[in-house]
Amino acid sequence: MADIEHVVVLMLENRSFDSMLGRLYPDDPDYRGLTLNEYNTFGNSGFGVWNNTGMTPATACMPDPDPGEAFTDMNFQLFGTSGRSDDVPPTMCGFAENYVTKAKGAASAVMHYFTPEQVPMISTLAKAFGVCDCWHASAPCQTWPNRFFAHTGTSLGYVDNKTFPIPFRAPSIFGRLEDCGKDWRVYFHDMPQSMLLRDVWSLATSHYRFFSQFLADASQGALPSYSFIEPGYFIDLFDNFMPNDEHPPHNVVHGEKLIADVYNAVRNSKCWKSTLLIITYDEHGGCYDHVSPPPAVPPDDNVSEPDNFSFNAYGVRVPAVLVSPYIPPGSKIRPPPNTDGSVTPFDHTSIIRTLRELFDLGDKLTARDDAAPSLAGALSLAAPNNDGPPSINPSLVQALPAVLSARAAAAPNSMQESLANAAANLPLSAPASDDAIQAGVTPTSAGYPTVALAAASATARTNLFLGVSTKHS
Amino acid sequence: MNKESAQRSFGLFILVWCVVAAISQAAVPVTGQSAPPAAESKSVASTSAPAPSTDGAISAPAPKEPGSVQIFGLVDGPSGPLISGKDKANHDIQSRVGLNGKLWVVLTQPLPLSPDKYALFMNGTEVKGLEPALDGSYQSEARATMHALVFTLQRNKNNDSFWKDLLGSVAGMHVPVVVSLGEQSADGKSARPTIVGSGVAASSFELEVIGFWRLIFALAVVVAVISLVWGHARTRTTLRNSYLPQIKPSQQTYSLARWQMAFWFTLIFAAFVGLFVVLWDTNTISSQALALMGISSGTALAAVAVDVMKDSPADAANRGLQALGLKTYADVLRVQQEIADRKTELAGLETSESDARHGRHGRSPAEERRKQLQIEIQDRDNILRTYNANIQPFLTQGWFKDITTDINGTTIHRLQAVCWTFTLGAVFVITVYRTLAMPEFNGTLLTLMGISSAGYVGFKYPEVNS
Repeated sequence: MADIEHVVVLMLENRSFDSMLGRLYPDDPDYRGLTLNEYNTFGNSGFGVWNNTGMTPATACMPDPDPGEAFTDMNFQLFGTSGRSDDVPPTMCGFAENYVTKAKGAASAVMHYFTPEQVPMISTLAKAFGVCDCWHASAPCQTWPNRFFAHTGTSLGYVDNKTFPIPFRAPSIFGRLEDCGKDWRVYFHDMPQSMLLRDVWSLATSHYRFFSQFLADASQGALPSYSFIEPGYFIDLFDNFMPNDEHPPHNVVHGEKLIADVYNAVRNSKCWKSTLLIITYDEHGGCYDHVSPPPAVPPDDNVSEPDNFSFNAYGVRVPAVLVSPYIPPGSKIRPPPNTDGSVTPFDHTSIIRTLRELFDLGDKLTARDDAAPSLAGALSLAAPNNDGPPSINPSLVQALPAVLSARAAAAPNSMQESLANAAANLPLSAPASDDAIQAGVTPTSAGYPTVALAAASATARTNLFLGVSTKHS
Repeated sequence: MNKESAQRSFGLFILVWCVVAAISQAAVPVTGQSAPPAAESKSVASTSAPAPSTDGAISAPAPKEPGSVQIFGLVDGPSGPLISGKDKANHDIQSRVGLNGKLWVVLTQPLPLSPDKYALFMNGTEVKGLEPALDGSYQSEARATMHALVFTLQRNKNNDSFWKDLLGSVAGMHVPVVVSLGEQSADGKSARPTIVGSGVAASSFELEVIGFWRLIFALAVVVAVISLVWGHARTRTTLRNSYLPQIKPSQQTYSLARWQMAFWFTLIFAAFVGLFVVLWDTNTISSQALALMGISSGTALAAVAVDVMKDSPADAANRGLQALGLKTYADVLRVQQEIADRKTELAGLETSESDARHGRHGRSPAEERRKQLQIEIQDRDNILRTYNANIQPFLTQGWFKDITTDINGTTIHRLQAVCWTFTLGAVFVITVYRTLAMPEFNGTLLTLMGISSAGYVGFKYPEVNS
């Protein structure tokens, strides 16, 4: 078994597998990418997958406006007008119609895909190491449920961001690492969504660091056993910082730079030979993907209200790239078949499963991560020989002041609004012990008309909670 | 050094000679009171002729030899007391005769030649370029009529250096002068002092360098300008950068370029006013002084151009604050007031809450309002926290630190500009004091100042973008 001592996860936002990596291997019939024959219909029109050459800001921000991503939207995207059914596989036919009716956008926008040349960072790493073309979001739900699945193996029955009580009480992989004496850190840019987990509150001040610290830790060969990196969800006008989470309509070029920064830091770290880097996205965010999500093992007995969804199905495929010197170049990483010949796809709980396996963290968190295939099988080289590119160099993009101001004045997306609301309900400082943590409260909506105001709430309260004064401290 | 003491020191630095003179004048009345001993005058030949009495009354002259003309005394008009000699307290008499005044040289007997054949000597040096003397008759207090020569103490290009030598480097408001006369040679170009006082006191007087009211006027003008420029600097953005309009004016950082500009403006203005009231001349600004003002103005202009040339951290902060609804400092005050208002209302609600809760189920209207107020207070508090976190790099850290540092700390190009400005400023003040003229800096010194300023502007470009 590969000698992995460090696992680094970078989880970006709201892109489907087809939209980012669908044309990575266009001539390989074994690769589950786009054939360019895929389409959706709306009214009497068909909308095929498409791409435009070049990489203008407009292209890099597609789809714009943000597609619908609530549970009801996703059901429509997967099942069309017929609605969710446990008996019929999703037909993936409702993306275009949902986008037109919900987001009021041009139908073709959600059918757009990027070529490898347009997203060279993730594409380069996918080819230099391994790409998972069978990694699904854990549930056909919004960001928070899927991110909580990545941390805890469940969303406790919640399907939409704004409905979650804060703190989220499910035991997390961070708590398990702590219990087992393994070091871990969350590196973030503005407000870490994972900070809403109950079992990290009393540990937050010592385990949450700004992203700049990740670069320093990697440089010094001081990466912890588990690093979870959260992108910047908000614009920061004070630093001319555009969100690098790739959440539509945020420019993917900024996310590409984040991918490059993370890879370059890990690749040039003393920890490189013993590190597994996982780059993935929380959910598809309304972007088209042609593969129907298969059924899934429910994590627990919780069901959503009023939809009565038992989390017995995965979400849409999301991009996932594994990077390690133990992974052969050009790998197409797929889960091994089960004993009955069926295949359980990778999902976010595969991260939990892999961590449990690599670091001997004990029993499952939920039935979902118990059933999830481990990623350890991708580490197939006998020795860490695949060093990949020494570094990857993203194109430098500096947003114009007018663009920055316009983005800051726009209405926040669901993720941003939910984070700001949650931040407003955070304690003024992290509780010193678990006993001091009060019961969960569903955040009251404060109402943030602009991204800038939502960002002010999120970052100011995060800094208070963590006891830091500025972004770079 | 804090900013207040720095400004105070600077102001005192400029006014030092005026202040010394003012103190001296304040202690001494215009005439007839005690005064510090005058500086020793340049020696001239003295005679043993009897001096006039100390009260100015004229007794009969007693020439040393018959036919020998001597200076009996000095006056400032056809009658009145002598301005030469000593007063009753045996102090030098502080005259009112100064530049552009008329000096009456009272003689022991009429002169053999016409008045225009005589030259005036002060401290043994001929005062060239004066208009020919006029004949005058002096009526003494003893009602004796005596012959006098009347000279108008004009300053022109022929005697400019003489007056500057005489009036420069003075420690008070008067300078001691010993007067003598001499017959001009046949060609009218040279003369020797041959007619001297009947005693040293008879031909000695205290030439007025600057009148008391003129000094007061000059001080008032200079102090007014200094107050306008430097006094405003404490509370307004006259000498500050104004990078962020959301910051209180008194907390903005000081601008090196603006400070330099104000420094030279103040020095040159004060020198101009000072020279005007002493020399009564408006043509005192040298081309080098103009060059210094030009360099400082050009530096300030270039610094502003650099500031607006490219998107800077200040621009980013400004955008960020504007996005939060904070366009000016008034908006910050408004948000603070909104928080205070809501806290006041919240306190009132909490007082009456227990009454409202009785007999009610669920949230009372007061509870609903309280929750709403808490959220509104928190949102505004978040805005202010963001504001306070992001304005820190743009707050003043004191005058000296502001002008010698950028966002990354002390910089050599700023230190260099400050040092050379102070050095040349000191040279400027000393030169004006000693020569009663603005200095004629040579080209090398001006080039040095130019290089220093250019270096500052050049290094400011990356500084703005750091």
